[in-house]
Amino acid sequence: MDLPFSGDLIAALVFPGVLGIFGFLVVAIWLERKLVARVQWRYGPLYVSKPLGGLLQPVADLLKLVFSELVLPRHTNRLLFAAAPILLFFAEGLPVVFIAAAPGVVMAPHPYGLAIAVVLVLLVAVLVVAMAWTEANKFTYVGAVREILLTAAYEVPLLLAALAMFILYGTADPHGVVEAQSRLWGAVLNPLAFMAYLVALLMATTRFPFEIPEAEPEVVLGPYTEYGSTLFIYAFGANYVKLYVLALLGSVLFLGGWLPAGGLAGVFITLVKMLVFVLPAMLVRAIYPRYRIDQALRIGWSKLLALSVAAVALSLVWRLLR
Amino acid sequence: MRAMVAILIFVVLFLGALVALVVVTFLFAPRRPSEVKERRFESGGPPYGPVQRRLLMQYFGYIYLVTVVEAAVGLALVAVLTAQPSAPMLYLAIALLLAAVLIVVLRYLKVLNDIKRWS
Repeated sequence: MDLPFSGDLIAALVFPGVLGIFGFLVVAIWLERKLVARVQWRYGPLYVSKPLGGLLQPVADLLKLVFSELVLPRHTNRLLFAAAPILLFFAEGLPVVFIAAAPGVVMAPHPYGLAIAVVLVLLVAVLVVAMAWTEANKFTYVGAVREILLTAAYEVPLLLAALAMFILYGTADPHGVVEAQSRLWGAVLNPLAFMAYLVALLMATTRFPFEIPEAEPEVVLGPYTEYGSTLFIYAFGANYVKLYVLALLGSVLFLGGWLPAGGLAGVFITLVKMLVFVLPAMLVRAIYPRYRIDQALRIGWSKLLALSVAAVALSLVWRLLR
Repeated sequence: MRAMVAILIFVVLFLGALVALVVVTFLFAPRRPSEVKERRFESGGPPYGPVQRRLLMQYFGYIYLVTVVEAAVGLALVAVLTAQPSAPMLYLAIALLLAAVLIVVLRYLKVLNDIKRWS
């Protein structure tokens, strides 16, 4: 171990912990605006920190939001109204506790760590619905119902993709999973599971073709409608945290995590591999229209289900051949 | 014990930062309350009618399906992770389970997609 601090502290404080989550929020918002602008022949954010290409624009936006008026509507339970987005943001970040970013750089090494992380990711939808419910608004109500339905579309494919990889590796320990990929990456061994995971990731983070719960022309901002100020950062940013978690989980499950390096270099390699999931999630916004909720449900239970079941079958075949 | 320290640091720092930012807003952001600001947001119009609606049931089939299938897949996950290495009977059971799921979904896909049936 050639790390200056102990790995679990690095994991808690820097990556994939607190600093990583907040840093990702800033970089992802900037990257998304910049990439989509490039596709649409615009400049994107530019004027705040011109030499950096507008990287500080999201920081300025977040600061502005922190110092704008905190409105707690009269018709809500104000304590719950304020607590719901905090809990949501926190719960979205919680799965990183069990995911390793490099050998030893994990808060809680656990033999079933990745499985626990998957389950934690799936549990969070409950908090989105709870948040929409405390807001007590027609738009948040519609948004909550759409969130539930979208969850019904992606949960099973996401679980099946994870199951396929666990069958293939025979373990859910992040270190064991990465070791099992030392010769070939999971995405090569089981490309079907990789594809199913990628689409399920887009659905789970409500990225563009599936940006149904917060469809702006239809339901204002869906589950986040009533929020402003800091609470809006949490309610809106929670999806970016989920993207961060799922990208990290995906790079460990499918792209060999920190391989071929170890130690501190492994952390950077994991970061770079996360882009494989983050970049498509940002770019589809510029390309795709939005599906209706019934179309999303149909995709989830027909093509995506077929793909993920085929992924499990492929893993079973690999396992029996070995 | 060592692992608990890192988790505790993460939870306290993360949750602490989130709460602290809200406190900063609460203390330092300007406050000019008005009746309009604090009432329900309905795209600028005055709020009317109750929020609660009847839940449309046209997607009920999917919800029913997901509660059943997700539980079964969860069980399969637990079985795979806790089984002895290379258990062919388990793999057969998983294959049969998924085949059953596929057959049921294929058989009822048309009914599931017919959203007019339930409204």
